[in-house]
Amino acid sequence: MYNVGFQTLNNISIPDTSTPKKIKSNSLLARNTMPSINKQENIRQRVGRYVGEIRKARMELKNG
Amino acid sequence: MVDTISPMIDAPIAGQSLTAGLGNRPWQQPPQYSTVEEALEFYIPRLTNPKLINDLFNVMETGIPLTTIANAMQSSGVMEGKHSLDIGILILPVLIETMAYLAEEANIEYVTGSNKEIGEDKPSDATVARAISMVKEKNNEEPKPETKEQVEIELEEPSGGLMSRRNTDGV
Repeated sequence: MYNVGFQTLNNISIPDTSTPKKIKSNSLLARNTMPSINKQENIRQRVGRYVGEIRKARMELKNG
Repeated sequence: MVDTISPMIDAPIAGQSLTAGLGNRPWQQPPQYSTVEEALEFYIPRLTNPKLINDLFNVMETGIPLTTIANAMQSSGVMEGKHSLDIGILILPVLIETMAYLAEEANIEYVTGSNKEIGEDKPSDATVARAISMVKEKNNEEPKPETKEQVEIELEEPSGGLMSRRNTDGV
């Protein structure tokens, strides 16, 4: 059956919230560790983030 | 003459869209909410409204999938001119996830309507059983002693090139 909800739910990409630790160095030739300007999220990324947040809350509710 | 070969198509009658003047339908007007956030601000309070939530739970308990409910909601929003069809499709996953959250909070059984359960990373029982049997087979396998023939096959043939490595004999 053609179900748009089914397709949107299965095709959504949820961003990974866990950020890897960055190795910081204080040496002169170290890579610049200044936080980069956040690129503007596109609309699908925003929706994915919203879904991820609600899902995370739901999983916390489910797992106690 | 009746054309029996042509398939019966359940489509609007030709000219049906012309029965109302252009722009008289709500979906022919500019949408009321033009962004995802605005549309969600319209839907989420409605979903969490205590007066309406019991009806929603009743529908969920009948076994209607959340995808179908959310699709009906956004379709009616488009027909009412609340938002465009694009925005409606974009907010669908958020609506489904919100309804799943509300249902779990109220201990209501629901059907998601997707082939995979939301957020379920657990492998299927068949996959687990197959993996266990593979590990068992691997453990039961005893290392076979290599025969002389196999060892001979594995030996590389000496290369005859000018730059090839010399043998221990110096040849």
